[in-house]
Amino acid sequence: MATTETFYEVMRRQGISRRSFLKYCSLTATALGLAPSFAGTIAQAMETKPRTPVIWLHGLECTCCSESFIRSAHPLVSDVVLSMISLDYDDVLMASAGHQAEAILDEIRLKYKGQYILAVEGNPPLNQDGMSCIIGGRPFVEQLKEVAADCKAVISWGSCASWGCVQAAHPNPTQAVPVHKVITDKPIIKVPGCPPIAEVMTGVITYMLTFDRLPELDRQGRPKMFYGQRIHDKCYRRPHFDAGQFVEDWDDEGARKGYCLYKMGCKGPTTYNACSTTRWNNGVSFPIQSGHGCIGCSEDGFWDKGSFYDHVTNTNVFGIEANADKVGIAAAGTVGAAIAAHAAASAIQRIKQRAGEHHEENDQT
Amino acid sequence: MPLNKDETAERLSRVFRRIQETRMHGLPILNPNLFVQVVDGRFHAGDWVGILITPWCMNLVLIPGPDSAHRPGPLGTKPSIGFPAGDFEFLASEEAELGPFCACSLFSPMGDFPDQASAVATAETIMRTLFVADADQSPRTGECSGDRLAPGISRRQLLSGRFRRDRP
Repeated sequence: MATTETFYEVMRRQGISRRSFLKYCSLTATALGLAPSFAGTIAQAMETKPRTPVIWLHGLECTCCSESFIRSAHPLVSDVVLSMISLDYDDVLMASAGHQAEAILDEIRLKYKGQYILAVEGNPPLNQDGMSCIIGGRPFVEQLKEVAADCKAVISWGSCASWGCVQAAHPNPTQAVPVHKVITDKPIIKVPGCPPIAEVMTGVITYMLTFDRLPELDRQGRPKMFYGQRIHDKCYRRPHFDAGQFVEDWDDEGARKGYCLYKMGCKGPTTYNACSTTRWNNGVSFPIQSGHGCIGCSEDGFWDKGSFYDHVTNTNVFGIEANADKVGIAAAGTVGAAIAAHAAASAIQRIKQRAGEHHEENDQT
Repeated sequence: MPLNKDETAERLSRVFRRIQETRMHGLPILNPNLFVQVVDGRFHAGDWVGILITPWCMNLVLIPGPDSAHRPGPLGTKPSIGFPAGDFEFLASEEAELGPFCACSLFSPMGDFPDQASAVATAETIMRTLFVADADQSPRTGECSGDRLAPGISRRQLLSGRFRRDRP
């Protein structure tokens, strides 16, 4: 290891008091859905572990992920997390510029070879040799590949890096592709959303820095602790869906009574994200609470799935975790006890999700 | 008046059959292979608990008994209710014929269930699992298992001396 400085030392140097540090540890334990006693574990990890640098690259994107991230609900969280990560390299947040900045990038790559985490916001366009996104005079895709070669793990921030988002929507003139199409030899954790929720972003990055491993991921590479449930599962308007009470028109009586927005095109039934539990802007609200349906921004290819106001007809119950259930039911043709058991177990797992996370088999970073 | 187990199940399915015929009529989100059915209704700490299968959702439903500790709050609030298998977050709901009740979403929409039998088998398995104590009660998964996880005491407990009385 090139340095012996710990996270705790970095925080103290940034002027964060011991009291604030411990408060941060308990806030983080709560945000990650861990038992309160885990605050001590986090504190101990941060006091003893050497700091892991994070390089934050920007490709084709709108910076909404950065905007979301720096507005984490608790000011302490963003102070702490930024003091841990931002000083190394981030086009938006770093103080240095020009050749000096690019030199820092090279320096980190050499000094922390195989130790740093690469966070990518946005994605690389491949058409015309990547000329649609130029960083420091070179195509972004080159920078991305070089920096990824020596990193420990990649975080794909937002729908751009995870799926492609608007620049990859049909007809995708720049041939923008998600990060996992270009980087294939590193563990990649996807944190989709346009943007992702601030608490989800800080939660994921703190988990990786303090426990030095990836959180448990689903089959599409998203952290289960935040993307294990659909908006629909925990929506406060769900009782109206179950009871068949729908908004039929904007500003009708149903809208005034806060009925379900399914008929107005809400994508909650098919969207995996934490909006209906974590909410936005310090937990104040989320789109459905403001009276508009979910547009499904954290799902793959959401720009190409028709109007935001068409209601969902293509329904997939078991979702991402269910490929096994689905294949099983289709193949068996009849009801097997094992299939019912599998579906039942995944349902119970899903509704218990927030109680705690991570299994040993995910110690792969 | 105390709840009657079978009558409560019958009332629940009657209400949702009516919802299917009226408010949900003709919606594409319905699975045409399914019908409204209540599975394995039973009593749990004085409340009626069972699984409601409809063509659009499968919910774990709790209808509070007369002396229930789980009076649902206003519509959309999220009470946490304990079962032997763990704690689950419910959503407070209300329907004219049922009064206030709580529901916890298991599946919705129901597109992947090929027939009623598979949905019923899944529901029966879930009910069985709910009433078996979770073997994997490690500290990280059970946040409500009491003093084992909460070594600290609150300021109020300290100042009032209550923590000394509460300790076994």
